[in-house]
Amino acid sequence: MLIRLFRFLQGYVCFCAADGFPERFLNLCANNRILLWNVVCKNGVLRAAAHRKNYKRLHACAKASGCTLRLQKKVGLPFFLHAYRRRVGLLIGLGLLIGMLTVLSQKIWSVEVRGNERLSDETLLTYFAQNGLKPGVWRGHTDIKSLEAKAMQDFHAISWLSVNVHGSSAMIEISERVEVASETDDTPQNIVARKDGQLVVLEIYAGQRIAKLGDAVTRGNLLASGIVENKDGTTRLEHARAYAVAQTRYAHLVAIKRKQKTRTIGSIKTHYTISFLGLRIPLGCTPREQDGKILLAQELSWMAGGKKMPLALERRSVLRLEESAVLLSDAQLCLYAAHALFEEAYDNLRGTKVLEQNAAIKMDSMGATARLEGTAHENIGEAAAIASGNSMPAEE
Amino acid sequence: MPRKTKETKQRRRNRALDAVQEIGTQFDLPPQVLPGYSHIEMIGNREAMIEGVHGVLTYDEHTVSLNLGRLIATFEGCELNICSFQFGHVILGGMIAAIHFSNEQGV
Repeated sequence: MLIRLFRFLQGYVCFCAADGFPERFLNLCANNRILLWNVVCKNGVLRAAAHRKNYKRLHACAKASGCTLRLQKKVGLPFFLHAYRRRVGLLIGLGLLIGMLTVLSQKIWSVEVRGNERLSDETLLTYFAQNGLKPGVWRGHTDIKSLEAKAMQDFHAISWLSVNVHGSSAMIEISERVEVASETDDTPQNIVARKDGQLVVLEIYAGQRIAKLGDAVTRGNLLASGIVENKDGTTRLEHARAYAVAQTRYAHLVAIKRKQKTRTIGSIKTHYTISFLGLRIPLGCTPREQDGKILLAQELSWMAGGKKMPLALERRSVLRLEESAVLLSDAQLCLYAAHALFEEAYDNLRGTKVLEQNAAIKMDSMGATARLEGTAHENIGEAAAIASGNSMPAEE
Repeated sequence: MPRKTKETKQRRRNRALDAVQEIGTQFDLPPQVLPGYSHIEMIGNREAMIEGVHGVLTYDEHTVSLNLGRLIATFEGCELNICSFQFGHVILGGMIAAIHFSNEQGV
């Protein structure tokens, strides 16, 4: 294989020698130190291969042995290059290719972040771009160590950071700091009711029990006191903690007008920008965000082998929105009202156990009113600072 | 006259080689260090490397005769070809069926 490669690089010719004395031809070649290979003699015709530089010397041997020499094939790189010797453009292109490869391999093509959860990619990439690590910068010109130290100082949420440059891509490996839970708060406090209802569960973990199971409480009533009376008649202050579940009633009301304002897309203008190693080449006028317009930006990066290449096409679309009034039909109105009621109820009834509820939607010419009411079990205990205004629950 | 002179030289040379080989045999020297011997190395019956070749006597796809100085080696087989041919060195390929050795007198 290696010999074949060397022969290809040097170039060789395949020829045939007919008539005369092939054996004498071979002996003369050997005496003249001409290397022959792939020598095949069939029906008096000798076929062989020799180096291209020896071909002229073969003629003398052929003449002496009475053979007629005929060239069959020219193989090798010198013959290939000879065919393209007048194509200057190819040579220039090859030079440009080698030059581009040499230059581009010295630059950072892509920067990626890995390991971040709370900090967004955009924040980190913007920070590192401002500090000199971005696509298009020279690989050796960035002081990685000082950049790592600076980023560690600037981002408190990062506990460990490493910038690894592999070839032309930079990988920022991050480990975020795990926040340790703060110590328990021992500030004296009471537990009061934040809503009207009847207590169905009351578990006191700290503090003095004030309300009893089954009591009806109103908003602000004391459930557990942080002022605890000792057996000797003295008092002490505690951080009261309790779990108080009460049966409460709730009602949600949502009104929707029949006449609604809608925004429709009037016109779309799209502009493209080619981004190459940080160099942005706009293909047309760059749009600006104006009133009544929405700017949408989308970047289409060229990915190769799972790696982001430095070539990207950015598409920026400006949408002109037009406002108009629309009269909703009964079905649309009903759907709008139900959706609005659901959104309101979803936020307020989170963490509660609904016992029973009724929903109703009333529609007229102006709009619709959706109402949801019912009873539920929910935690009504909330912490409150110790004050003199806390009252005892009303006894039934 | 010139032919006679050449034959005389050849005979003298053969006599000298005989003497050297006789001395080598007496001293138990390995034959490859003595002059006048050719070296043949075979890989199965598909390839033969021959050193000390003085020339090709006959060559076709069934028979190749090589002049090894004091010997003539005839390789018989089918699809015989010379893979490489340099001065004194031949690599013979193909299906080698037999090798015959004879001296200049054909014995």
